Order: sequence, then structure tokens, then C-alpha cells
Amino acid sequence: MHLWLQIILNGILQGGILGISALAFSLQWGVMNLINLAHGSFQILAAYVAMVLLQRLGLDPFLAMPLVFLIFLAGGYLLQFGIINRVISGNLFMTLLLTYGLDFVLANFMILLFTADYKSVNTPYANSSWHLLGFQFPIVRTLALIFLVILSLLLWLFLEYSRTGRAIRATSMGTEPARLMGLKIPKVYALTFGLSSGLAAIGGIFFGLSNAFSPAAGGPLTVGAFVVTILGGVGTSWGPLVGGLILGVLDAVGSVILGPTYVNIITFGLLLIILILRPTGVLGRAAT
Amino acid sequence: MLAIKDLSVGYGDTKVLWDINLEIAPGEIVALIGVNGAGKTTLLKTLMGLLPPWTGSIRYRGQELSRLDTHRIVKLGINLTPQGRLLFTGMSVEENLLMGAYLRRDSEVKHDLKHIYDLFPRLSERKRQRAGTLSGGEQQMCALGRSLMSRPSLLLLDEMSLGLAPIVVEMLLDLVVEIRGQGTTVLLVEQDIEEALLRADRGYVLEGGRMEMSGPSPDLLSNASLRVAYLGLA
Ligand SMILES: Nc1ncnc2c1ncn2[C@@H]1O[C@H](COP(=O)(O)OP(=O)(O)OP(=O)(O)O)[C@@H](O)[C@H]1O
Ligand SMILES: [Mg+2]
Repeated sequence: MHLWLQIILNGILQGGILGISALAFSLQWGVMNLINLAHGSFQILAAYVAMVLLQRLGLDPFLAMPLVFLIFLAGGYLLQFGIINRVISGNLFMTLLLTYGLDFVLANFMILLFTADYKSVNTPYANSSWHLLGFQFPIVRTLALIFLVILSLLLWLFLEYSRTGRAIRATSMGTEPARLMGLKIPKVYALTFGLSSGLAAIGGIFFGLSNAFSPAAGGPLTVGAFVVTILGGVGTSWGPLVGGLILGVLDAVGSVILGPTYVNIITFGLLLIILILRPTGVLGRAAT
Repeated sequence: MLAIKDLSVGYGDTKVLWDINLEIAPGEIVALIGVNGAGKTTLLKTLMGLLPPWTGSIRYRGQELSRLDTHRIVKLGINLTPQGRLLFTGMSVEENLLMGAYLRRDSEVKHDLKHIYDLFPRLSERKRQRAGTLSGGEQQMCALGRSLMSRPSLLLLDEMSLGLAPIVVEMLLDLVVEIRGQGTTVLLVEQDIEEALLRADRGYVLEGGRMEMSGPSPDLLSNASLRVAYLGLA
């Protein structure tokens, strides 16, 4: 009994990292109808950045987080403004192709810089846990879940109550009326992509703190974000939390039952089911 | 105030508007009449910078609009209440109205919001409700209110009456006259020639993408061929 509770707890805590990742993915999808296949590689890149900052400057990843967030925010803004905006009003296939290419470039860039070997962000606390009521709370994952709740709340407050947030929501509901209000859609999109890149970077740092990673690790992260986003609902502020917890628990329980050789089998299984059940439906814009 | 000269527009390689000429003087209500597919919406979208003109010019207070982005045109004081309303359906009524004032930085937005609620008490009762849940008439009020929140100098109204009960149409069109009285110039696009021309100073008739007729409202209203074509009266 106790063992199973611990397993479920592990799943819940794993949901934090999954959820932060999906927070970014879902925002891009919900606002811009953009399915970003480079999403996972963005996160792995952020993990490498955190690793370098730790190794070279001795900067703790949590202290580096605001800096990495801002770097990715700026980079995402420029990327969207300069490149992605050029194809985003075309069909979905074009944006898929572009982000697929981006993923390819990023992954190879990382191989060039860091080799294809597995690396990790080695902090003293990376593998330690808190203990409470006889249960084990891995520090990094517990913090990830707390961060997810806080980030979801902040994102919701921003989207709901700020002038810019309202502009982002309006644009997600229709670009033509948004333009008629005087909004500059390319700017709204660049801001959205910048913000979600920053969030993706935070997710990537948490991933790097709790897993060994290589440049090829981005793909499964993208698939995970995709599944969590569908489970929680596209373009909702709290969906990533809900979806993250569901997938986290299913994954944890599933890998115990099926054995540890089958990591990700639940995620990919769910992906398959989703694609079979709603092959076209999932590609539509979120009904906000 | 607005002068459209020899304007041609199309989609892809299909031309939809041929050599359109139209003028509006400050303080006028000008009606633009035409059946389905005549090109009325296309003309309004071109005015708002949503479609690029092929040839011709659009001058507003002496400034050329035809190459400007939509947000610049909105900033100049032109606002469109689009056909089909295009509300932000997932947002509350109040948020929709505030979106209309998005470019405004002045302190009177709150005051104007109250003014809209005075005009449309129904919207006031439903201000927290999602716009998508409103009735057709209420949605049209919300769309009109949203445009008014931008304090437009020139208001373009695209088929406000579409699908609405006659009593709501009357109320909205009467309100247009009131709005003009407060200094806003109006281009009123309608299919109901009589309702529109009864309120407008002048009218234009668009047929198959060409401006076929124009003149003071009373002249158009008594024009025999128009009466046959639009009212089925001999
Ligand atoms: N996005 C588009 N792509 C291609 N053709 C279009 C498009 N929108 C409109 N058209 C065509 O342009 C012509 C004019 O359409 P428009 O919508 O301007 O007419 P309208 O006068 O506003 O009609 P309605 O009263 O039905 O709104 C029509 O023949 C229509 O089929
Ligand atoms: Mg029309």
C-alpha cells in the first residue's frame, strides 16, 4: 500500500516537470495555432545553458533561472518576429515543416557544442529528497510542481487581467477582429512565442536537474507536451497542471506494472490513441 | 473626409470591385446598398487595410490610406463594425468593449464604458457574461458598442441588421442617427434599401462590383428601377 502511494506520489511530482513544459507548448498552440516541434529541443538547450552556467560560473540553476528565462524570452521573440511569423498565416503544414527544421538545426547545433553524450546538471541536491510522513519527496520534482502551480497562476493572472494578456487572448479568438481593434498581430505573436520560450526554458532546467539528457532528448519532451496539452485542453491556463498530473501518474504506475524498460510507453501509447480518436480534431484551434 | 478614387480590389486573381468612386463629407450618413455578393464587405475591408487595393486611392482627411496597416487606420479614427460581428466570443461583454478602446490611453475609457451601458442596458446586465452566449441582437449591440469605445470619427457599419428582429433593427438604426448627431460620420452598409435610405443623407448602389448609382436619399428612394430591383414594387 505504502509503496503504491509513493509511486503515485512520484507520478504527481513528475507532473510538475511535464506541466511546465506543456504550459509553454499549450500557449503557442492555443494562441497561434502553432504546434512547435522544436519545443523539446528548446528545453534541452536551456538545460545545457544551465549546465554551462553551473560549470563555468558556478551559478546555481535556480539563481540562473531568471537569466535563462529572459534569454529565451528575447530569443523566442526574435525568432518569431523574424522567421516564424513569415509562415504562420499559411497552412499548418508549413509551420510544422518549419519547426521540424528548427528542431533539426537545434539538435545538431547541440551535438556540435556538447557532443551526443549524456550530460546532467550536477547540483548537490539533484538526487536528494525531503522526507515527510514516511514518504519521499525528491527535491527538484517537488519544486517543479510548486513552480508549475505558481507559473500557472501568474500566467492566468497575466492573460486575464493585463492589457497585453487581453490582447493575446483576443488574438487567439480571431486575428481579423483583433486587427480591427488596432492590434499588431506579428508583435502579439512574437510576445507569445517569447513568453512561452521562457517558460519552456524553465521546464528544461527542471528536466536537466532531474534527468540525464543528450541533444536527442528533445523529441520525447515534445511528444509529452503534446499529450499533456491534449489531456488538459489546448490553450487553457490550468490544463497543463491537470494534464501533467494525469500523465505523470499514468506514467509512474504504468512503468511499475510494465517494467522500467518501457519508459515513455504510456506517453507514446496515449499519443497513438489521441491520433486515432481525433486525427483531425487535435489540429484545430482551441475553442476558448 | 473620405475620398475613394478608381479603386479596384480582388481576391487571388479574381477582381471583385471595379473602379469604385465614393466620397463622404464630415457629419454625413452615407448608405451603401447592394445585394449579396455585390462587394460591400470587400470595400469595407479594403478601407480598413485588411485587403490590399489593386489600383486606385483612398484618401482620408488628405492622407493616403491604401498602403497603411490596419492598426494605423484604426489610430486615425476609422472603425469597422464587421459583418457577422466577430466578437471575442470567449471574453466577457465588458472585455469586448474594452478591446474596442485598446489603442486609447486617455482617462475617459471608464466614462465611455458607462455611456455604452446607458445606451444598451441589456449589455450592462450581461457585462460579466461571455459574449458568445448573447442573443443575436445583444451581440450586435456589443459589436457596435465595441466600435464606439474607440471614439471613431468615421464609423463603418457592415450589415448590422442581418438576422435581427425588425424592432432591434429600428432601434440600432435610430441609434446610428443619434451617433451622427454627436459628431461621428457614418458609412452604413445595408441590404434593406428603405431602412437605410430613410436615415442616410446620400446613398450609393453597388451592383456586381461596380458603383451603378448614387445620389441624395430621397432621389434614390423614389427611383423607379431601384424600387423594382430591391423592394419588388412596380
Ligand atoms: N475571401 C474571399 N475569397 C475569394 N472571394 C471572395 C472572398 N470574400 C468574398 N469573395 C467574393 O467577392 C464578392 C463580393 O463579396 P462581398 O462579401 O464583398 O459581398 P457583400 O456585398 O458584402 O455580400 P453580402 O451582402 O452577402 O455580405 C463575392 O462574389 C464573393 O464570392
Ligand atoms: Mg458583406
